[in-house]
Amino acid sequence: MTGWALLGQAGDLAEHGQWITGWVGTVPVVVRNFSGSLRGFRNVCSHRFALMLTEPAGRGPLRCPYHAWVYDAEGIPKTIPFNDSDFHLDDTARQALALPAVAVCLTGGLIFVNLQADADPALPAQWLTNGDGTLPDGSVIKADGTIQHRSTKARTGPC
Amino acid sequence: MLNFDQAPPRHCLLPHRWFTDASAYVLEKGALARHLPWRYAGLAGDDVDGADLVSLGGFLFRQQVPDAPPLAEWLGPFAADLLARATALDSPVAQDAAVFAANWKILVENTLDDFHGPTVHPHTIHPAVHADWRQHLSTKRAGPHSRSSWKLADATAAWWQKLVARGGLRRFADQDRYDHVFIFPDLYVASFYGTMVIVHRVVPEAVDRSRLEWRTFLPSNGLVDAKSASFRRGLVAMLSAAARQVIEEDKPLCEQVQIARAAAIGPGILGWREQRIGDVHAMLTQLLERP
Ligand code: FES
Ligand SMILES: [Fe+2]
Repeated sequence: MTGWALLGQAGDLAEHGQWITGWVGTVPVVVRNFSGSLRGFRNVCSHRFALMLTEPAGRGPLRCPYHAWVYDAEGIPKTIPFNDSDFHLDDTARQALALPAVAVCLTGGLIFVNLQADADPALPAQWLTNGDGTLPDGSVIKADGTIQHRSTKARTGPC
Repeated sequence: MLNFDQAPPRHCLLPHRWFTDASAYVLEKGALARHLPWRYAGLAGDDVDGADLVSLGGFLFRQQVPDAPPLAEWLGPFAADLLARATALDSPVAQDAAVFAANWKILVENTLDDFHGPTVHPHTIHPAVHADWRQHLSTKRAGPHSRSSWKLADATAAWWQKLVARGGLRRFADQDRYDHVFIFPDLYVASFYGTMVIVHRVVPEAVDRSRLEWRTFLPSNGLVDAKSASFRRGLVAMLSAAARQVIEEDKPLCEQVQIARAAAIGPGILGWREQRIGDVHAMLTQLLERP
C-alpha cells in the first residue's frame, strides 16, 4: 500500500507521551505526542530490528523492549544502555541510526500517516470533505466521525 | 576479546531477505548442505546414522563435504568444551521444544546476544548472574563458533553448591559459572555451575518458523540414595520449568524481530556483546557467496 492511511483518533494522542501504532501494509508505524508535537516513525528499532511498541495505543517512552533503546522526537536513539562500553556511538553516529520518519496529518479529529515523510498533508482533509465515509485507503468513518474500520489495524501484504 | 574501551568493529549484516523470502530460505538451505564442512546431527543414541557421522564424546557431527578439515579442527577450541560437557550426556533428565514464528537466524542472534538479560530476563537469568558483568563476562570466538561465560551471582553459586551436595550431582568442572558454547550454525550447549548441561538445537522449519529443542542433563555422582533421588526429581521439575520460562521470555522478542525486520531501512548495529552474531553473519555470507 502507498499513500495516506488512517491510523487512529486524535483523542488517543491528546497528551504528551501518548502513542498509537498500526501497519501501513507490511510496515509497522508509530505516532507519538512529544510535548504537543505529533511525530511518526517506522516502529522498528534501529539496533537489531525489533518491533518496538506492540499495543495499538498507550502512553510512555518510545522504547524498544529488546535492549531498552529510547528514541526522541527526531527519532534519534537518546538512551542507549551500555553505550559507553558496548557501542561508543557519538551524536553523529546516533543521528545515522535515527528512525525513518513517516508523515503525520491530523484532520477532523483523525490521525493519518504516510510512509513518504514529505507527502502532501492536504489530501486526508479532502478525503473527509468529499467522501461518503469510505476512504481511499479502505478505512471507514461513521457519520459521527468515529472509526468503523481502519486499514492500518493489522499487517497486510506479503508474508 | 572484548575491549569495552574502544568502539566495536562494525559488521555488515545479511540483507533482510535472508530472513523473510521463501526463495532465499531454499538457497540458504542448499548452501549450508553443500558448503558447510560439518553439521551437528544429534546425540549418541539418537535415531541418526550414516558413515559420514563422527562422534565427539557423544555429540554427533555429519561430514558434509569431502575435503572437510578434521572435526576437531573445525570446532577449534570448542572441541575441548564439548568434550568436557559430553561427560554429562549419560544423565538425561528432561527434554522440551518450542516453535517460534521466526527465522532460525533470529533465534541464533538472540542466543548469541550476551546482554539482553536485564531487559528480557529481568527475573530469571539476570539476577542469577553476577551484577558486575563487565568484570566477569568472558567471551571466546573462533570462526563462526564461540563461547560466553558469566560468573554466577554469589547467592546462585551458593544455591548450586547446596544442590550438588543434596542431589548427589557430579561436576565436569569446578566453576561457579553459567556458560554457553555455540557451534555454527544450530547447536548451543549451556552449562551451570559445571554440572547441569542443556543441549539446544535450532531447527529451521520454514523461512519464518523454527523449532528450538532442548535436552537437559543432570549428572549424578553415583551415590544416590532414596532421599537424594527424590530430591533430584523435584529439582529436575523445577529446573525444567525455569528453562522453559527463559525460552518463553525470548520467544516474543524473536517474533517481534521477524515481523519488523523487513520494514527496517537502516543497517543495524552490533555492540561488543553481540560480536558473536557478527561472526555468524560473516560465515553465512561466505557460504552464500559460493557457487
Ligand atoms: S533491538 Fe531494539 S534495543 Fe536492541
Ligand atoms: Fe534470552
